[in-house]
Amino acid sequence: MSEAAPILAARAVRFRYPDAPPLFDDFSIGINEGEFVSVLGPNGSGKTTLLRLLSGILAPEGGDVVMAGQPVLSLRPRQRARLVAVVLPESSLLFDFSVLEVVLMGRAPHLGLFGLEGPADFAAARAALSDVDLADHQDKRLRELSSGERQRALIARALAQQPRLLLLDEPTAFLDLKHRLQIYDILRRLNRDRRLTVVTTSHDLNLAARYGSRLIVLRAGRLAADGVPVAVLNADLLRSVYDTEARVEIDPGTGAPYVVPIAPIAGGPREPGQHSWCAVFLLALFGLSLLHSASPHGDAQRDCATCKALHAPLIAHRLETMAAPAGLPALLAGPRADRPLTADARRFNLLRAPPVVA
Amino acid sequence: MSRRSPPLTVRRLAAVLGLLGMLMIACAAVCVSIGSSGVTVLDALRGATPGNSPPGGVPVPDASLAADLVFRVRLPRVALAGLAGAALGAAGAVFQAILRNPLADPYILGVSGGAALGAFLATIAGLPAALPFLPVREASAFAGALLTIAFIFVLSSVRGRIASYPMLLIGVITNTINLSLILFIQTIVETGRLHGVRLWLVGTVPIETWGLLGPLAATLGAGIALLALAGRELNLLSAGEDVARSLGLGVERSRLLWIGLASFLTAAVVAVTGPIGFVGLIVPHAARLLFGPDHRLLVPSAALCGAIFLMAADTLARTIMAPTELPVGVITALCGGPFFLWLYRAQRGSSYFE
Repeated sequence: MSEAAPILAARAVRFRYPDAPPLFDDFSIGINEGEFVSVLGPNGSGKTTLLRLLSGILAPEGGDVVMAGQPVLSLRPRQRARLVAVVLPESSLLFDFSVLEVVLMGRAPHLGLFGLEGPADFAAARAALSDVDLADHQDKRLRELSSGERQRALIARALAQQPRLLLLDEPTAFLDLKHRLQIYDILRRLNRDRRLTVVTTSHDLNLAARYGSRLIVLRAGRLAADGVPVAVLNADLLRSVYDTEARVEIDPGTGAPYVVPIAPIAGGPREPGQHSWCAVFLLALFGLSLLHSASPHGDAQRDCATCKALHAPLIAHRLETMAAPAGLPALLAGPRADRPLTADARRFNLLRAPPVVA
Repeated sequence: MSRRSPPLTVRRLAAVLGLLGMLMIACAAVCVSIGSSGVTVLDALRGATPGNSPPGGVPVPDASLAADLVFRVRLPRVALAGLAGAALGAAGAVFQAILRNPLADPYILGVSGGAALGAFLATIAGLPAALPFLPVREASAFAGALLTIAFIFVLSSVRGRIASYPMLLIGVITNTINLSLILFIQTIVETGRLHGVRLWLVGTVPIETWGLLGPLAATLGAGIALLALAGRELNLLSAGEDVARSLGLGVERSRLLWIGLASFLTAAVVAVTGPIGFVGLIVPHAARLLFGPDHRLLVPSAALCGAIFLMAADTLARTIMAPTELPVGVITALCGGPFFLWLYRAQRGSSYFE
């Protein structure tokens, strides 16, 4: 990473949704001009929230989001919209606007308070449409377009803002292979030819690794990894962040790492503070099952329904590992900030915060 | 194949609004020329008695009376209908965009119920009878409407922000409560005392409020002109809150401003005419089908279409069963409904409702 001041930065940002535990607590990240950043992480890890905080759509509770050297709260909304454009997962379009009309809305931050678009605005909108290869579709209704075309039209609206940063929230969700590649090719072209800084969130690790110059991986509102794709993507990370056994290989064609998922890790790590009652219940079950198996079964032991019923939840919750000598006290005591994690707790990843619905 | 409306330019804006403006003036001229005596606007302007009075019509003896009839009797009523229609049409377009709901109309936040409750309470308190020279019913209806709006705004704001869906829900519930209170009052109060207000409740363009026309015209005219400037922000708001914010709109301020202004205008109209239904729902849809969804054109054209529609409806209401006058609300629904259904079917190739 360069030493120049980042064009977009979160500094010690705190954020929580109403009636939810804090999602970001003292979170900092800097995005440099010209980067192509992919924000990764499982559902609920805070990708979308981070994108919205960085774009100024959401205001942080504490800390600062700094955009081109200025705190975002000190910018007027229109100034902000000329610096940063956002492509959000599309909400339903209420009225039947044409593609060109939708793209012209991107000119809003450049127009006078009640002004109509002038020739320069039309030119910018048409240029944006040809940037996303939709020049022939400008007179269609947005609703007539396919999902891939519609997504490109929304990117064109963002480009019509003539921003320095383009943020996209899962731009390829619901798109087929061809349209995913199309979108990423367009983004890479804009990034390379115009030095447009691009930040996307994504669940598509392979595309993110192939196109992004930098991956930021979130886990429960914390930075789990940050760096170039080759350095970030590895089996350990996928295990600890995505609860998935996977192989990471280098594609000889592109030189980019790619992920071959193998299997989800059953159950997944638990957070002890939230689950200590669960643990007490499981211990009781454990005791019962010991008592029960001590009772005479005869030949039917293998098929004993009571045995199965008692064992099923224990196996599902992997009590054996949780009740390992070092893990059990930590499990019952719950997480405490002043107590360092035991090696076992770290190993079993017991202190992972519960998923937060973003 | 769907209808294509070109993007908005100054030329297109001027052409559509100019055309609609001329249509509105023509419609007003026709409306003031129709009545139980055969006097037309041309007679009044020429200063001549009409050459032919209609069969069964009342002959008008001299020219000055003809002018009086057209300009003092019919014109204020037509003007009131036009103003009310314009305000309801424009307000309807604003409500549909901001609440992001095609079923929204200017009464959806309970303005009509609040106004009606105010009018009823004033009437059973005997205020109109005690102060016959003041527009007591109008004032109390206006107050009731404003109080209701304020109540809904306060109730639906969370930490200083107003969210659309809670607002919609709270508005509908408040309206239901108000209307039930009115039913309750109607049940326990003897019918005779409520005669005037019951007529008002179905929507009329009343004859006795001409004194209010001047201030009402000034208020509504200024308000509609302001609403016509809301178009750019309404376009963004109709695309969704987050999109609007990302395009640099101060969403909270904008929403509060335009909903507040539209509600205020609706309250002013309802206070005078009673809740005339259907105009605020149907006119924005018709204008959108005809001129496209861009609110910079839609809001002013819905205002002009609303004026034309309500002037015509009111003229029908006072003539088709003359001397009996029909409630104008009946006409707006009976003529507007089928017209809208026809327009919708005629445009069915478009993806208007999806």
